[in-house]
Amino acid sequence: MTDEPHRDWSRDTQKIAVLSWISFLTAAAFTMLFFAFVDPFVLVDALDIESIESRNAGYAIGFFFFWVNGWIAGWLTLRLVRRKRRGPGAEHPRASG
Amino acid sequence: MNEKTADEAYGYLYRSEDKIYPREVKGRFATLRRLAMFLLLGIFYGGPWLTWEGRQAILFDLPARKFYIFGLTLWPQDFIYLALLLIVAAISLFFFTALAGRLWCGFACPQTVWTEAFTWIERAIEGDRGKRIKLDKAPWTASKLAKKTAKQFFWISLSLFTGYTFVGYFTAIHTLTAEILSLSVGPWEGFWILFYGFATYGNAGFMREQVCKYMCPYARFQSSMFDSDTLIITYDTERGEPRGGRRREADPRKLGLGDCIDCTMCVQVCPTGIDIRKGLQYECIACAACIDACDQVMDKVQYPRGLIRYATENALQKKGYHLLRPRTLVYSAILATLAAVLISSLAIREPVILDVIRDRNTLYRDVGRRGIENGYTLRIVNKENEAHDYTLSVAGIEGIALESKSEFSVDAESVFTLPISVTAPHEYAIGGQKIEFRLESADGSGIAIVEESRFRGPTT
Repeated sequence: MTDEPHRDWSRDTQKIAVLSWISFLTAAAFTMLFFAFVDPFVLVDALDIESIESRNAGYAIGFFFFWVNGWIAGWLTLRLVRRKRRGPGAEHPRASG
Repeated sequence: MNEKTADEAYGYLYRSEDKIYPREVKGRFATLRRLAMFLLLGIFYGGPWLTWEGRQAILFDLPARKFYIFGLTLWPQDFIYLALLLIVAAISLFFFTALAGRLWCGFACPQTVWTEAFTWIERAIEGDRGKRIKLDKAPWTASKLAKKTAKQFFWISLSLFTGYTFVGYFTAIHTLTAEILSLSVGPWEGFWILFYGFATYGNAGFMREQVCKYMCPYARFQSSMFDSDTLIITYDTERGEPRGGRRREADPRKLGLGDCIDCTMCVQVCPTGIDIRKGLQYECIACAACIDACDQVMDKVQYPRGLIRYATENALQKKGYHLLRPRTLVYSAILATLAAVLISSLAIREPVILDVIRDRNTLYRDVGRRGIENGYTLRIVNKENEAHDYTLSVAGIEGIALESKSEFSVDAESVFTLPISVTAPHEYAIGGQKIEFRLESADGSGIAIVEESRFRGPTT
């Protein structure tokens, strides 16, 4: 795998990489903002989840929740704004996916 | 559709480029970059080991919801300072971009710094550019396997060590080390070590310049902070063109050539594989490797240095350099204001927080001769490193009084919850009125804080 690392990515790889990274950054920011005001334990009590026993677990679950949320929103946006190709090779030759 | 035809017809847009094997470069900027790498990695790896008054100097203690930064202890309520700090950092980035282009990308970005470290390991094991190209093309032999295994071993070790150090900023590093040595790391700590180790490996060993080209938001937006007076790495087209090979003793002017001997060294050293001679491109991370390479070549052929150099667009067109311009003035004004706000608000930060929460279940109670009673819950957060004795008083209505104890002690760095009731005489406790709780230190430490709330009584 590492023997071929620097080849330029396909459009799909680019999309997945950008999606994952941008949603990661926003998730990190929102996790910070959210948990600055909300103690995970308060949330755990309110939702009556007994399986979460440490604050760290709460932070991690919160982070992944934000990450997945951003990822899905971004992916749907990409799907919905993509333009149909008109005629052979119009404007974006391989941007159909 | 035939991909090849599309590629030919639409040029570089979707063309797959070959693997980039950046050639090692020596020179002023390479030394500077190496120094920056050692300094920044030193700060990162050494950071968790610093101590301050017997505890870890920089510790973001998430389980306890307290951040320790040297002498400062930040609580979740102090989030505003963290937010301000991040905004100051962002504006600084804009400011330095306007001044000197992508200095951040070339020298300080973690992506660059770790890629530099990973490339350094790669080079030490597999050799320089030519050797690496040859090694990758060669069939799998014992020696190739040994080299690749060694490289992966050091890469993975460095990645895991990075993950461990990162988690060490959140879990006290001495505790974490003891846990690792006794193989009793908590599940979340173990997970984050692997997660950040994997991210480091992926970003610095595997993705490298693709992160800058496709994934980095700053790379896409930085051009909007540029103007004609921003320092950029640029090729002096006027001096260099027309480029071409020539014999050493030949006079380029007689041959009708510029100073560029078209040795392509600038392209070979580029970590993002671009040709700087085609002008400023968004892939350029301003690492200045091409400047070093070109200077060396210019020295060899005895032409003056600086065919590729740091310059501004205006300087290249001989229009001079303007440091003070609206963009830099605005950025520096915002920066100075925010920094002043941050420092002064930190300086006058209250060492104690008083929250008053009104009992929502009953508006008020008639307690006969004693008057009208309201219930409250007080939350006192002592942010200081020592315990304090406090006196509580209430004011705002004639004859208002505390029915519960008014003197108590709050331990260092802890939260004290106190349910209290307050009474006021019938004749004055009419409708909703503003009252004030006043908390004062009783031990001479000079702390005094006032918090408003409402007192309710019958409307008639």
